[in-house]
Amino acid sequence: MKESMHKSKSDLSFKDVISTVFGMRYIFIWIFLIVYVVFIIVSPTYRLIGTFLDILRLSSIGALLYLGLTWVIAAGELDLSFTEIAAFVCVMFAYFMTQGISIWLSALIAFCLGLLWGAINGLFVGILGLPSLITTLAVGAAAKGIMTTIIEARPVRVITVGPVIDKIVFGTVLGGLPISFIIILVIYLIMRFIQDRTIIGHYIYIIGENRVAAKAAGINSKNIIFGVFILSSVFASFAGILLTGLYQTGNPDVGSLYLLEGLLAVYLGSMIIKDVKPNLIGTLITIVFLGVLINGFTVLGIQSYILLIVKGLLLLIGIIIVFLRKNYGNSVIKRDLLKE
Amino acid sequence: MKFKRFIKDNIIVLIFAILTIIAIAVFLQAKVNFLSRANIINLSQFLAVNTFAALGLTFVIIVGHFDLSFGQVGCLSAMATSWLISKDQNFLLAIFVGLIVGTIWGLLNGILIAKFKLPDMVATIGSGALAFGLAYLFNGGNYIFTHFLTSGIAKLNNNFVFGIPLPFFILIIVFIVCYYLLSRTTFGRRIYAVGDNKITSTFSGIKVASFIITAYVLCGFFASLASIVMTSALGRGNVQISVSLLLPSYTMVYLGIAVFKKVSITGTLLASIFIAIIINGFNLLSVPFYISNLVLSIILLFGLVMSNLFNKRLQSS
Repeated sequence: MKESMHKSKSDLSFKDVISTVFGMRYIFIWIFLIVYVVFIIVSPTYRLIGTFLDILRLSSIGALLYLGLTWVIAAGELDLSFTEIAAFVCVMFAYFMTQGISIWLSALIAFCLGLLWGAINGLFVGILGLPSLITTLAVGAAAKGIMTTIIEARPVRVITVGPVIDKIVFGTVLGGLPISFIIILVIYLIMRFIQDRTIIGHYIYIIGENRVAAKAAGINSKNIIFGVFILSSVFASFAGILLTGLYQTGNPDVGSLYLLEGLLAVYLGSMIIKDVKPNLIGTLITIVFLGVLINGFTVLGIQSYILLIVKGLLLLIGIIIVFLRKNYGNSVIKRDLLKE
Repeated sequence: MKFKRFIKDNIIVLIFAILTIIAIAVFLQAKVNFLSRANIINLSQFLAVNTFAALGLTFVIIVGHFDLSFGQVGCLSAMATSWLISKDQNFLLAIFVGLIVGTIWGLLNGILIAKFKLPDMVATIGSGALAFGLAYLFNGGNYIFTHFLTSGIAKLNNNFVFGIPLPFFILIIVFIVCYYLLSRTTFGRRIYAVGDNKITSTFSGIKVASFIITAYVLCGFFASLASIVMTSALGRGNVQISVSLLLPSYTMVYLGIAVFKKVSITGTLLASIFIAIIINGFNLLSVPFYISNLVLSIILLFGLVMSNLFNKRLQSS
C-alpha cells in the first residue's frame, strides 16, 4: 500500500483512485469498517440497524463535548477543563432546579456560569499567555471544587428536566434516527463550513502551525485563542445540560469519563480527511468508531479496564503515526528547500 | 536603601513565610493538637509522600516538559509491589520491582517524547491510561490484602531512623542528593540549559534527548517511590492510590517557581511544606476533601500568574 502511494502521479488511472481510497487519509475509515464487520460476525446484536442508531445517540453528547476541543488542539493549545466545565453545568443545572427555579431559567444560569469558566481559561491562556495544560488543569480543579462545595459532594437527583431536553436526549424521528445525532450533525456541518471555508478557520490552523509566523502575518492570536476557549466552554456547557437530561442526576464525577476519549477522538480523527491536522469530520467519525468499540466491548462482556488499555494504546499509536508523518513532511520540505 | 531593595527582591518569600506562619497560627488557635508528637509524625510522613512526586515532576518541568502520567504510573508500580507481596515474596524485592517498573515507564515516556518528538501532554496522557489499565490487571481492580501484615512492608512507613520517621529520612537524603546534583554539578547546569533553550544547548554539545529522558526516568522513579510509601502506609494494594497526586504536585512545583522565580528543588520543598501544613490542618479541622482541592487549585493559579509575571519582567529587562 505504501509503495502505491509513492508511484508517479502523472497518469490518473484506476490505480491512482485505488491508492487514494486506500491511502493514509482514509485508512482509519477502513479499520473502522473492519472492526464493525468483526462485531457483526461475533455478535448477532450488531446485525440490527437499531444498535447502530443507539450507538449514534449515545455518542452524540461526547461529540458535542469534543467539538470545541478539536479547535483548541488545532490552535496548538490543550484543554483539560472541558469535562469539568460540562460536569459543573450538569450539577449546577440540577442544583438550581432543586432550589425551585424554573427549568429554563436554571438552564440559562448554569449555561452562563459554564461560559464564565471558558472566559477564565481564555483570559489566562490567550491574553496572559500562561501554559494551557496547567491552567486548564487548575481551572478544572477549581470548577470541580466549587461545585462539590455547593452540593457537598452528594449527587443531585432531579425528577424531570422538562419535555424539550428529554426529547433532545432520548427522542427519535423517522423510525429510530436519534434527534440528538441530527442536531450534532447539523452543528458539525456548520462548524466544518466555518473551519474550511472562512478566514477564522484558516487563522486557527495558522496559529497552531506557527505562532510567530501568525503574528508576523498580522493575526491577533490572543483574541482567537480566547475565542476558541470560549467556544469550547459553550459546547461543554450545552453538553452538560444534556448530561443532566441523560442521567437525571447532577453528578460531579460525570466528566471523568470523557477526557481520555476526547483526546483520543481528536488525535485519531486528525488522521482522517485532512493530513494530520485536527478536523471536525475526522473527530466525528472517530467518536462513532469509539462508540462502536465501547459498545462492542460491553456486549462481549470484556472488562472496562481492558478498554482503558486499548484506549491508551490507540492514543499512543495514533500520535506516533501523526507526528512521525508530520516530522517526515517537515523534513521533506526542508530537503526540497535545501535543493533549491 | 539596601533594606528597601532586599524587601523588593524577596517580597514573595516574605509573603510566603508570613502565610505559613498565619496558617500555623490559625491551626494552633483552633486547638486541634497541631503540634502534638503524633501529628508531627503524621505530617512528616504525608509531606514525604507528596514531596517525592513533586521532586520527580520538578525535573520534568526543568527540562521544559510536562508529565500527566506519573500518578497512574505510581498506581502501576504500587500494584506490582502489592502483587509480589501477596505472592509471599520478600518485601525488599517487591519494593525494588515496583521502583523498576516506575523507572521503566519513565524511560518509555522519555523515549516517546525525546526520540519520537511526540507532544509531551498527549503522550503522557496515553501512557498514563495504559499504565492505569495495566494496574487493574493485577487483581481486577480489587484491593490486595494477602500477606501484607506479615511481610514487613509497613516498616517502610512506620520505622524510625535517629528518631525521624523513615519516609522523612529518605526525603532528606533525596533532597540533599537532588540539590547537590542540580546546583553543584555539570549535570545540573546542563539540565537547566536544556530547559532554557534546546537549540543553543544542542549547539553547545549537550545531548538534549538524553537529558529529557533522564528527567522522565527520575519522574517515574520518584512517583513509584511515593506510591509505594503510600501503599505501605495504607497496608493494602489500592489501584487508585496515587491518582490524586497530580494536582498537589503541580501546585507545589508552580508555587515553588512563584517563590524562587525559577524551577528549583528548594522552592518545591518549601512549597510542599506549606501545602502539607495547610492540608494537614484542614484534615484536623475536618474540612471536607473537596475544599482542600479547591484551595490547591486556587494556589496553583496564583503560582502560575506570579511565575508568568516574573518571566515577563525578566524578558523585558
